[in-house]
Amino acid sequence: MTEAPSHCLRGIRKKDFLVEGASALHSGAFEPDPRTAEHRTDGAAETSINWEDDALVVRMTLRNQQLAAHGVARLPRTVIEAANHLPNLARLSARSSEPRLLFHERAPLPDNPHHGNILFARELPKPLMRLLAGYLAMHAEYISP
Amino acid sequence: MLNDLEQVLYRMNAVGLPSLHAAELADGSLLIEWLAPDRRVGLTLDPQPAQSGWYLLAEGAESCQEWGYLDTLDWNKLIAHILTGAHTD
Repeated sequence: MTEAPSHCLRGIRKKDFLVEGASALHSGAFEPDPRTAEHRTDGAAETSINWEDDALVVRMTLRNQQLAAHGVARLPRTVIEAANHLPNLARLSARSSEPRLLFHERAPLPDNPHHGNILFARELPKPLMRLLAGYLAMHAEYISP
Repeated sequence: MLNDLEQVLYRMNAVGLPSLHAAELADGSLLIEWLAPDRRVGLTLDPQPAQSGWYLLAEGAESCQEWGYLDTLDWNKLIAHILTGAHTD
């Protein structure tokens, strides 16, 4: 399981991230944890996900009441990759030493081989980071608990 | 800035625009958003005021990705972005 599958799953921790009966997701659902950047050599900030390696991963993710108490956001991998090519963002990447604003990885844990991260490039301006999280939220599908 | 925000919210409420949605983020910021299927507007109030900012995002014919800190915020532009979304829902 080294290749990234077509979709990833992000647990919804807070009810506040569900908008109007979960018709939309608040960008906070994809906000990275800023503390994670301190422990990475690339300085990126992580939004923890599970890769949907098979149909059972959705159920496994939903069972984690700490991380997915309010359901799961299902996001196509291509959306993460496409964010770097949005017109205004592609221009920004071209001027930066980091060609990707958003990228992804598989980062298995001892008890979770499906674990991975959406990564927000080092030292992104906070408003841009929120825009990127909003772009992800805009394209995610909500799966209720 | 908060006075400006109060006036904007009052004007939006007066014309019946979609309600806003606010949530606290991991860094203690408050992110206020207006959402439509093809666009969203965000306004962040950060514990460090200089880090507070805004963003506009839209897809389709009016594709838009803009962001900045609050000192660059154009309230009229922000409201126009929300109004456009409200009219195309």
